[in-house]
Amino acid sequence: MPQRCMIFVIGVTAILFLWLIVLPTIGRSDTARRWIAPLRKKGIDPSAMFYTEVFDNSPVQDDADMGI
Amino acid sequence: MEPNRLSRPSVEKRFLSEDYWAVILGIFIVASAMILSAGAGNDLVGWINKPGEWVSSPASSFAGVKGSVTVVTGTAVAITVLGLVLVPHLFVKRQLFRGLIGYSGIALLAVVAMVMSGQEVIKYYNLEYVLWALLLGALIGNTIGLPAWLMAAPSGEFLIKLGLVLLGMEVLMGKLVVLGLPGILVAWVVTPIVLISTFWFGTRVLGIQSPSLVMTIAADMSVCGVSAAIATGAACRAKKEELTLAISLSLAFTAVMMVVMPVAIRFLGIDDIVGGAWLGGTIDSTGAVAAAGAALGDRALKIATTVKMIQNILIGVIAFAVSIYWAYRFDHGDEASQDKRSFFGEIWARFPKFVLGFLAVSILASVLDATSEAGAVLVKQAIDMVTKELRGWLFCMAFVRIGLDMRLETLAPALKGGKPMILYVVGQALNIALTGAMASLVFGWWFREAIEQWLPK
Repeated sequence: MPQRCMIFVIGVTAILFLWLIVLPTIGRSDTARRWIAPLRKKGIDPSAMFYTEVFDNSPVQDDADMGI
Repeated sequence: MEPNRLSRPSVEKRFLSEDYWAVILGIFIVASAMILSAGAGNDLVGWINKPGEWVSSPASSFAGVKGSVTVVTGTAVAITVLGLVLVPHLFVKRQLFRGLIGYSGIALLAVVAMVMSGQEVIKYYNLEYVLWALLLGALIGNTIGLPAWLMAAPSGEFLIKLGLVLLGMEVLMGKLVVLGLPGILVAWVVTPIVLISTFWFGTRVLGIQSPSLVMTIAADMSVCGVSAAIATGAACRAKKEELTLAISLSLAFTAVMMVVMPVAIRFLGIDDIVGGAWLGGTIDSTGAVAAAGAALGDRALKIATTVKMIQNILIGVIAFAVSIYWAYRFDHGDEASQDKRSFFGEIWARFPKFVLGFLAVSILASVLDATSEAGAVLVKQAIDMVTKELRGWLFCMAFVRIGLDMRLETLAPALKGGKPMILYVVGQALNIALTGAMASLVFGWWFREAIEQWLPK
């Protein structure tokens, strides 16, 4: 397989690994929960780019997935 | 003219340049949003949407409902609406079919970037979707390469300009006075001082060769992060790599400051009023300011987000001022035509016209918002239900396209000697010091009583 294709496959694999395994694991840690839970309760979106997006009115998520 | 710059002087001899198309199509979207808002009220909630938050399963980002509309439908409508809006532009460019195919590819990658940014750790630690859009685009563009069918997609520059015209809807001038003089002093006095000082430091002391890189970093650090970088970068015709670098620096430092600053404020025994103002004026990103403010309490949250909102409004003035300064000082436009034009004619020729669209939309929305309650409701509904979501999609698609076009080896000169990072750190240190001093003076002493009456404990 050409080198560039190999790098692409490695990149995609790394993204999948990080997003599906590593980040959810970090999200279950006490440190992360202490940071995330109060913000979620207040409806704050820390990734908001502009003031109109700060207070999150995103769709209601699946409760089981949110750990509620 | 370098092809890698975010915008070019409007001296092309085409029927309409990208700037004019961005203004026309942007105003069309804004006008449509206002008409729909007037006719449908809140009934449009959820019809234009994006993937939501998720924890361990990305499918959850599509599982929700907003209003009575599923996320899947809202996402599909957003992408379809934007595709339809782009039809006239692509038709005139004689790239209708190929352009729409390319647009579909960009849109699909933008959906993936939005899903990536919705993972809860990513979201709550302020790692915005632009980063993932750039990453995906750069991964494809620098490995398997840009497929031919994607090349006809609208350019990143055009999508940014169109997004910026829509952003004008959210730049409501009346909000400048919401906090009165205290907010203006912290946001509007310190910010220009830090911006200009950092620009001087970067160009004269550090000797960074590219003034547009220096200005983009100075703006994102002193004003309000990614949105300021986008607006200022477009106004000063920054290269794609420079915008990428400025945004990456901002997001990296913001994630740290968001967590560390509240801890430092508590450790130093600073109260929530001064602390909130300090956070609002220093942390780059608006969302991160809210998160940090919340860590200090409700009063700090309110003050921090209000100060940051006032800084958000500064974007319009900064973009306009930078455009004028750049047209006068740095751009040379079409050399052959220069002798035929007067001084003002020359400034006009070089001025990025999309900034006028951005300002026109801002002025219109500001007047409606300030003159009547019905007008304010109309503007808010149009923003919440249509323009802010479309603006987000446009920026996401723009950064996918920028990532696809960017070659990582061209980043190397911009990183030379670590100067951009030194510039950011020195500028941010100045910002923290000056904002802290102003917050203490204005919120901690001069207007303390008025603030405590506005926000009793």
